[in-house]
Amino acid sequence: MTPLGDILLLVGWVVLWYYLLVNGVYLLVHIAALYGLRSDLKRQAAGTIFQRFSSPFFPGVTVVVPAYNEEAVIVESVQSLLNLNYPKLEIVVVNDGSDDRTLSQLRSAFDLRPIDAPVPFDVPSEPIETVYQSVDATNLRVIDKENGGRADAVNAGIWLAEQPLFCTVDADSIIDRDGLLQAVEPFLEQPEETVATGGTIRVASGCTIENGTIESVGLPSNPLASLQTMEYLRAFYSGRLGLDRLNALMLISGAFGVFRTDLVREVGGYETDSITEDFELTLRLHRYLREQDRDYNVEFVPEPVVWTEVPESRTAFSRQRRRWYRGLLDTMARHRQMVGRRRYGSPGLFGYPAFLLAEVLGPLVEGLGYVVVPLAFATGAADVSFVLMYFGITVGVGVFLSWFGILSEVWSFRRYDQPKQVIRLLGMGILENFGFRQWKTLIAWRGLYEYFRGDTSWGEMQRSGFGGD
Amino acid sequence: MEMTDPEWEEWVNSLSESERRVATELLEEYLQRIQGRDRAALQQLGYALGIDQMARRKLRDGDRFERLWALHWIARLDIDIKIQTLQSSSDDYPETRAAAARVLYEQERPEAARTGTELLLQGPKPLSVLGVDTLYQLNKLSPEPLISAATSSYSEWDESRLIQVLQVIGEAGPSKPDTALGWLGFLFLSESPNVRAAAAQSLSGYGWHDDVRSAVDINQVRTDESPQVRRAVYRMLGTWEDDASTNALLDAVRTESDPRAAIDAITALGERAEQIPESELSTSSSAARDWVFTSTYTSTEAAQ
Repeated sequence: MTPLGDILLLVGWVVLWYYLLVNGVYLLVHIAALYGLRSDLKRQAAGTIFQRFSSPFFPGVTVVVPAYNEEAVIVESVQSLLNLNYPKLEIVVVNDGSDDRTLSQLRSAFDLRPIDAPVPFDVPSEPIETVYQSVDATNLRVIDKENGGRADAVNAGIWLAEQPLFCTVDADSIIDRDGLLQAVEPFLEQPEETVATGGTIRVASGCTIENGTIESVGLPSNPLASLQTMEYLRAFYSGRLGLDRLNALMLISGAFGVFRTDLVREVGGYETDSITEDFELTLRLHRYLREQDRDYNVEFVPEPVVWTEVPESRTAFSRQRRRWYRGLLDTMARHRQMVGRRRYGSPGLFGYPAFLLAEVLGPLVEGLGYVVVPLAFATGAADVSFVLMYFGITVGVGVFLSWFGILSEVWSFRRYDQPKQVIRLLGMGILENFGFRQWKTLIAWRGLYEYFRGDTSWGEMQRSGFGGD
Repeated sequence: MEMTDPEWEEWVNSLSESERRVATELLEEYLQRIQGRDRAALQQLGYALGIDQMARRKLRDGDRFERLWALHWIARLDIDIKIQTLQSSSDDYPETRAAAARVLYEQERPEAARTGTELLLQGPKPLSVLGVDTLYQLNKLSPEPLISAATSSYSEWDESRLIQVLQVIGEAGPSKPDTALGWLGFLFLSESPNVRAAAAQSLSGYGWHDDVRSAVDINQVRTDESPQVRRAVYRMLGTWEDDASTNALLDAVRTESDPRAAIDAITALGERAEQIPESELSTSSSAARDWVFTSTYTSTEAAQ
């Protein structure tokens, strides 16, 4: 064997052992998720004996909707929010300098009137031009401001929010009617400690949507969207839930998170120069509260669901995932002081290292393996049995973890209740190992390159609207 | 009620196992919505399905979640269970205690308010969502059992529990003039701004109560270091509507530097704020006044 062959084979073994280590961590998280789900299910089986909606104790929530060029979906999105089953609700739409008809659509649909007074406090965002009050829906206000990006728009909404809690929802997303009631429960159960909760995000493509609500759940016909449906199930019902049970929830998605308004203002709102501002805010809250020695609770609530559009073209998907990866690197670098330090509790001792191993380095190392192992085989350094073992383990473990996530959903919430849908999702769990995963590792490498090059672009997603199917 | 209807029994006997499961699920759903005679008829279906026997068995031998299931059905079907049995089979978890207290409330048992409140407030830990709502339902017309329990135990509770109880006191109907509320004044010395704010919120509408007036130093609490607390205090003073509280609010708008607290102070003053000369308002209060009145005008115009 040549020295090069030796090196390739050694790298192959390192990659394989790394892969097993990372997936061992995943498995630990998944098992924790399973325990969490079991308790939730037993509690759910007992049913309920009171009407949550009529309880006077649910704190008010401001739903902040950042909107940039959302003319295709904005009216339906707001209508859907107005239909939410929640007793004290305020909706603040922030038109982030759109150059399409987002504002005019809102003005005509909800009869907006300008409030002719300057905002009486400083708002850390690009200048606000006008604040509108709706005539048709008195709990709806619209802020029209200069363009500053999603985080900047959300900050404007948070500063003008009048309720003690706020929730961010993207204009392309639909919350379950009872979703907010469920997401807010931890704030009632631990009013002193709870500072943030996050719900589950699922793929809206393929669902039947009428009047801004999900009428029936279906799977997308687009294969890329179907693969993402399976990915989201795995990420939320295994990843997030498991990390939550280990007290190390590291991310509350911008697409559906509820936060204490005053606390987020206290830490300065969303970081406008971050491209994954939701992840950055979650880590910053952990750091801030730990550094102040405050007892707090950041919780994942698995049942409330927000349904969202996902990219259906390869270009849009690649652009979104590269942004996520660059944002991941940027946020991890900003909060690197947390790693392994007891002061930062579970997020520092377990959450951060697990994210570093699995989310940052995991795809890079996996991608390396896809190059090194075939090369080792080609140079004769690795035999067929090693190659088969390598791909057998990577595919086998991948399928196992995906099926684990899908079956957790089937066992628990059963939104996909037709056998055909479940079989298709399980099929996606197998299919993703043949091309999709490899492509995602390539995207991660490209994201790494862009990060070092200083690329901070967001990219745009074309909305298709929720028009009835 | 404990009775069965032969027609339901005959119908249930004709059902398969799966059909009985579906019938049970539908029964649960309808019992949440229906009241009166129709509810009583549906409850008899529950007995015909044997849910009462299962609930008794699970309450006696089940784990935490099975007892929770049993207590929910005991409430829904109005199953007669001794209070002592309810207490002894539920006292180990907040959520089972909440469900047992709910049974007392739903079945309108004698002494439900006192017994249920004691059951809910065992231990120092926070209540479940059902627990908070049940505590309110038991005390909403007359909060004396709750206030009596809180007076003797509030210092042992953790902060979340304390906030929950204060929220319930704030929502419940007014207590009697001779009810001891002086302990609420001590809560303004709590280290937690959330507790201090909840204390202010709980005293909304209590401006007439002698105990409250002597325990709460208005001028001290309105200058609390936390804007969150000041906001709650301004809202509280706005509901007291007497000269002392109005003067305290007028003093506040002269000095308030936090813009959001200024908005609450102006809102609490209402139309009285319109008469204040510009020179007597702090910068924040002046901006807040423009904002509050313009917003209110826009909303009123919208409503018309």
